[in-house]
Amino acid sequence: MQSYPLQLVELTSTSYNSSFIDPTLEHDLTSCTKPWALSPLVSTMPHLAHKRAIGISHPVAGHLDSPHKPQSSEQNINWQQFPSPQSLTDDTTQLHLTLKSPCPSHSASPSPSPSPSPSPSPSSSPGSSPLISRESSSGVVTPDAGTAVKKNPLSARALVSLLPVSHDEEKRRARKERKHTERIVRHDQALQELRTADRRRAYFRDASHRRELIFGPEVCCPLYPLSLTETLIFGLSFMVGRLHDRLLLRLHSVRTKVVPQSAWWDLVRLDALLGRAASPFHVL
Amino acid sequence: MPCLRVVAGPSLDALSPISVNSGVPHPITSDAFEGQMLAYIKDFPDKCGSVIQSEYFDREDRKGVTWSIQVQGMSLDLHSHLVYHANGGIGRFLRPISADDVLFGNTFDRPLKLPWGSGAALKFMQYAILPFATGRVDVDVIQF
Repeated sequence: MQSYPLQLVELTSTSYNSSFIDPTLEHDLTSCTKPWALSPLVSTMPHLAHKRAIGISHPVAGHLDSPHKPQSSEQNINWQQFPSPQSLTDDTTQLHLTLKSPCPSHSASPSPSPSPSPSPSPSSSPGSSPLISRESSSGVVTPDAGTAVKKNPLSARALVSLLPVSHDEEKRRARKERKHTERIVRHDQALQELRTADRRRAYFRDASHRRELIFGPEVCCPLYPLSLTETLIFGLSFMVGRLHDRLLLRLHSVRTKVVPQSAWWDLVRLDALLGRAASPFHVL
Repeated sequence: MPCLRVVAGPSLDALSPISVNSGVPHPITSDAFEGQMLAYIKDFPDKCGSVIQSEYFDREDRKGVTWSIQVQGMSLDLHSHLVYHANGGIGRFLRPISADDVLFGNTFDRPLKLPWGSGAALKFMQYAILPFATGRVDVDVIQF
């Protein structure tokens, strides 16, 4: 087959008449091999609809009465209607559900609320277990907790010996995660306020906004310090969080009760039955 | 008589002809995505030269549109994935992918012979202009 350069007459003529300006377009049209011009899909599409396709049955989400309730066969029917008899209109009301979760951390506890107002837990008393103490000092990260450690060198030393990393590092990491979570929440709100295609395209001009969205079969969730003293609610929210990380953020602050070890492993087994990896530490 | 051949596939190396203006979706399956797509082209002539029309271009909200590519995809978690496959599921992202990495645009098999001045224009233009001014791309991404 004869190879020759393509004439760009059509391309340029339509370009000059174009009224569609895409600042996110990247291109190498002068390439000597394979020219290209590509734009991120979310910022260049004239029409984009993103809907949560709910499975016919979803036991965990349904049980917890998720705000995004599963399931209606009607939704399935709609999903299978392609092409739709009506023209597609922009629908990004559920796009925030794909927001990337806060960065998982293997040792620090997340601070899911944008403005956490933790209070010292009774469980952080001297009689509590090291795990609980660690949680209250690292996850909550209150100034009081920091000063308490400084005032008591013995307990501080003991604490340091229990922790794989220093308290300062824990605080730094917690602060970083809190900032990250706050940013996620801001993005979440901004995404829910996108109403038109123009606003969507303007919002996603920022590459960092695009990178916050993850399309994929599974939703990443933050890793929590897995102790056997996590609450039942937290355990359930952990599982749900794999499916719906936004919900996880809401539920995480509700942990109050202690889950016995047997109950926790039941949750892990249930998690595995749902098709996940057997280990709850697994990052999806 | 020259005619337009429309092909689609999961990669540039696996393209196959698809029907245009038929309203019949064509499945797209790769290791990263499963979904389906449609193509509409106004006044599209088939191989015999007869024009195939579509009611899509008669819609009030699509006036002035001359072509449309519609893509529908779905990403599911494992549980739902099984359910949907049992029902003849449609598609999904097979692995997590950032929205920054899902792209739309043009690639060309051969070098372009750019008209005079276009290189400088491309270089100095702050905003690049997409070469599909009058088309519409409808993307229906369903994610779970």
